[in-house]
Amino acid sequence: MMIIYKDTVSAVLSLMLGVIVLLNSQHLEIGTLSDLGLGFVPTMLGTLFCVFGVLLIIKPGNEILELPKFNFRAVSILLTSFVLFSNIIESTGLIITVLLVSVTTRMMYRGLTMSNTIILSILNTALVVILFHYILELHITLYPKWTFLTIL
Amino acid sequence: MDILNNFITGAVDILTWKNFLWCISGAFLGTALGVLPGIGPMTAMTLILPLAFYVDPLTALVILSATYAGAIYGGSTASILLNLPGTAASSVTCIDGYPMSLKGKGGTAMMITAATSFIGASVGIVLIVSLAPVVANLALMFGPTEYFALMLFAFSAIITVSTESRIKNFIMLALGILFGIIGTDANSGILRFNLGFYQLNDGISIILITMGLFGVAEIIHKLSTDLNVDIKKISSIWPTKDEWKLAIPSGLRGSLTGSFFGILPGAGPTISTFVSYILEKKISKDSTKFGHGAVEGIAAPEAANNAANQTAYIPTLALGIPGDAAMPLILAVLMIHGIQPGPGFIATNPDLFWALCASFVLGNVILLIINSGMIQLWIKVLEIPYTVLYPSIVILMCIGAYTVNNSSFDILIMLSFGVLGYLLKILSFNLTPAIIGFVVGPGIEEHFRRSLTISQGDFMTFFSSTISTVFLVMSVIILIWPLLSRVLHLTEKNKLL
Repeated sequence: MMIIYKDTVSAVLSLMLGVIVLLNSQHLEIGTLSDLGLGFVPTMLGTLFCVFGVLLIIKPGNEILELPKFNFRAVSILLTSFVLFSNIIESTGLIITVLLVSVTTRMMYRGLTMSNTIILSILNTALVVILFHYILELHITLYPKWTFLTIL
Repeated sequence: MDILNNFITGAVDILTWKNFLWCISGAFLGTALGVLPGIGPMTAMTLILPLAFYVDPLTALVILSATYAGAIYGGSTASILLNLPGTAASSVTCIDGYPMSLKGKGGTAMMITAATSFIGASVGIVLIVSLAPVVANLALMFGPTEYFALMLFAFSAIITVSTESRIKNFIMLALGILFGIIGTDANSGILRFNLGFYQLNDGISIILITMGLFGVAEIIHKLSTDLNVDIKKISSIWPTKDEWKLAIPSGLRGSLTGSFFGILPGAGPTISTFVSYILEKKISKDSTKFGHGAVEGIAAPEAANNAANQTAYIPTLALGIPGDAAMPLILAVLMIHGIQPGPGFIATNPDLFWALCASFVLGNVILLIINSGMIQLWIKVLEIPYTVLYPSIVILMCIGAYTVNNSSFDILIMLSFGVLGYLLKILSFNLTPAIIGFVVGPGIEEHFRRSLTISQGDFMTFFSSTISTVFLVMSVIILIWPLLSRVLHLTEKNKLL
């Protein structure tokens, strides 16, 4: 099996980042010593990323890259929860968003019954609404923007 | 006398019911979150940070600093009882804390930890009160060249004084600076690296970066880890007379080591805990007991950890340069309330500074009481199922990120930093230089440009004042020190041969 060192991967990433930064800072002026342009620091950073990448390739450490145990189901549900919150908070308001995200995040764990999930999610939502809306008076609408629901 | 008078004035400000309750809440919440193995002080602080928008600056600083101190105190509980360090700094406590727990002396270890943490934090507070105003007064004489040199020195310290690879620290620092310059340049109005997203025109908030790199990344990491809570039975809590005799002097020695490393910008508590542990082992009459439940093995690192966390406030408050990874959040609180951190901070906000110092003392006493008197409660906290915990944390983080600009895009920024932080963790990168680079980066660019503009491009301007020359020379020495010490070591070896 091929052995990959952590520093080798880090070096490649650093080199790639350096090249991207250098390419993206081409439109920025470097300027002169007495009048430095906005491109000076990015160009320097891009160059440094490349230099450090090369240094890591020349003298890598001996830590072997082992892919860690990865709970794909739990992590993907976690990431989905963040995206879900971001997508619906403005249209559905705090209550429905927190309720939906609470139910979704609890799916990270196997073995939780549906009734437990619902009870814990409702409790969670109630606490969030009390803390952020009533105590801290946060400016997030509680209810969805749909007219028929705002009547509630 | 001035210091005492100012301190008493600060104490009067802090001893209102409101601040007192916030301080207790912060200490309690911080300890509870710190006790849990998947949640370190950074995550605890980022969860509390959104509160800072809705309270006055003093209350915000009090609750955040109490949470931080509480999480540091609490971090040792999981290290001792479960062999699961909450932070890199508390990993040293595992070495002797867990063997003590296996012997049924987990309660004793926690009591020693609480007492020596109190000693460490107290030494740190004394140093803040006596040194920060002096340093700030000195810094009032600084111009752009001195600032540039000081920031360069801070960067050198971050890169060198760390247990991780120096090249990797360099990369992280550069990455932090890169993130720091994203957005519109204040002088010219030109956009840099906004990647086509108008939401990045004002730059990225420190809150999103810390929440992502530390909070989200930590949760992703812990979700894939088996967190089995198997707490050994605790037979005794109160240490014996002999154990106290060993713990107190070790705690004092650890406090001094920790205080020194805490003052160095970016050095942070991790290195101080390792150094104090090694020192204790070296001076001990019986070094073989280390690793098997030596009292000094937990007393010194815990004191060092807490002292370093306190003295990290000195560069943060006096110079505006974060002392460790958590300090940018303290700076963020000041900036949220329109207070400019830096040398002028203490002179223009003496009430705030002295009240904050008084709150450190109050928080430290509260923490000693709740950590020594409520050991059984913290053991119960360890048993809270993650099915209850993580969903609540995810929602708190989402709301925290959303409230920064009332923008749902910010949640995605935080998430992106979370994924990046997780990948960097796998590759063994230290995230602290990135956070400090992010905060200090735009400042160093600004001072560098200004110095050269004033001197009309003359590089010798950086050596025109004694202060900047001293900082620049120190930066070079720190950077080449590893090489220098190797050469000196070889010469000494050759002489012996």
